[in-house]
Amino acid sequence: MIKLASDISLASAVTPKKAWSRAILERFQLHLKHGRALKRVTVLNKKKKQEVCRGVESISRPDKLRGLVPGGERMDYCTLLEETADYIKCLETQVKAMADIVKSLCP
Amino acid sequence: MDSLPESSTSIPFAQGVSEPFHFGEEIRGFSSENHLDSSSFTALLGLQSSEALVLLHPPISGQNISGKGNSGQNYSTVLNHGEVSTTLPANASLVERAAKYSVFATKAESDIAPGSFSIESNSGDTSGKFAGDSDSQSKEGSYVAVDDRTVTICSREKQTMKRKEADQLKAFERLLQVKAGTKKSKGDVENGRGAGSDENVTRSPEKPAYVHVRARRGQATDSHSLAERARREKINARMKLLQELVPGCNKISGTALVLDEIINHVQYLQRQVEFLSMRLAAVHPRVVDFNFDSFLSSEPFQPFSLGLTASNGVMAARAEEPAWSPVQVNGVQRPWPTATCANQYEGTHSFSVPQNPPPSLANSGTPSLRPNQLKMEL
Repeated sequence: MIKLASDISLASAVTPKKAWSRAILERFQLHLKHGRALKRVTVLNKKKKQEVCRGVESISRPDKLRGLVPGGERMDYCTLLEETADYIKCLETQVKAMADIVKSLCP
Repeated sequence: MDSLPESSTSIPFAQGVSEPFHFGEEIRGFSSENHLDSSSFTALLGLQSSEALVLLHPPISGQNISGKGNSGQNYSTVLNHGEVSTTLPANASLVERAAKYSVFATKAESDIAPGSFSIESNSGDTSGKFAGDSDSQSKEGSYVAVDDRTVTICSREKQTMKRKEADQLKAFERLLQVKAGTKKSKGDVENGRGAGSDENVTRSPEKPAYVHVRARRGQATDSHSLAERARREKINARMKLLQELVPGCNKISGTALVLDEIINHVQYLQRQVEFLSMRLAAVHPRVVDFNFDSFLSSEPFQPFSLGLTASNGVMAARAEEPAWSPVQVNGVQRPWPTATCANQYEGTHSFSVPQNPPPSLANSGTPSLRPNQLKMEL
């Protein structure tokens, strides 16, 4: 739950110009409107199907990256790289912030 | 933190933010004008030189140079500033604003990428040359992603050019044939290579829809390959950025391994987030219901919007902590309200206040806390 909240807050904090933040927000909105985890399950299933069909090792690298970065399924490679850079940066910030929180609250 | 450091950080950033925007526009305009080393070009083109120069609008390049000079200084201002305050605030506030600008994206995270690349602007201009720390990677030239779409590719291409010097004339002929054909605009700004290796595809006046394109010496000049080349260059530039972002990727050669490394890093970060979130969840019994509707539907970056109807009326000191996520309604970076709540949590708690000063974006406070109070605390 916290993860969800933190992800969403992060996504909304980042300027929504980046596709991945929009993807996170959309995902959550669908959560609210259509019931639990509908969209997420869909995405996950798609990925799992890929894995099953091809075998985990044979997923190509860009596809792996697409699976990791939210909203990465629909992007072309070039955009994907850009979004990945942004996403990494924000993840690092998120991690730092959460680590600080944990450190302060659990001495 | 109080408003003073916040404003001091925000102002140069704001300037810096506006500047690269203009910078990018200038670059784009610049690239479309195709600044040339005109003398060498003349020598090579011969008859076509006058025509080419007329079409090239050299005066505009002069403007662009000065513009770039200014923005270059602003860059260094911002960058220096960003580097001075190397702690989280610089990073996080930049994270918000500079997400659009890949330069800031990498440069500002000074603790993440301390070996930031040296930014070198277009050839013949002395303007945008500022080195953060000169990258170990930067040979004679380095990649610059000045804008999302512009890349300056430096002397690596130069070397390619020198090797193919013999093909120069052939390529020229080809180009001149292509002159009347389709051209595409590219976002690339390419270095004017000193030895007159530039070839410019001139625009035929009767087809104003086509835009200048610069082809490189000895390379195919048909539209498809040009587009592909542009795309490849873009991809390479972004890969380079990613390499700098991900620690330890600089030494790896080869795109595939770098990609693997990047994927690993992303997975690692995600796992960390999960782990930390579980830890937090264990510490705090979560009583608060999040009302995300107001949270999601409202405009981003509205400061002080207290559109929370959530039952974060659980104002127990500890429960306030989990309330930070609905609290941060619109685009406020997460750490800030965290710091806020932490301040509420303990009166004189010195938790990460220096680390998380809010950007100029205001914190949305919990309903119990007045915004002014909030700002003062931070």
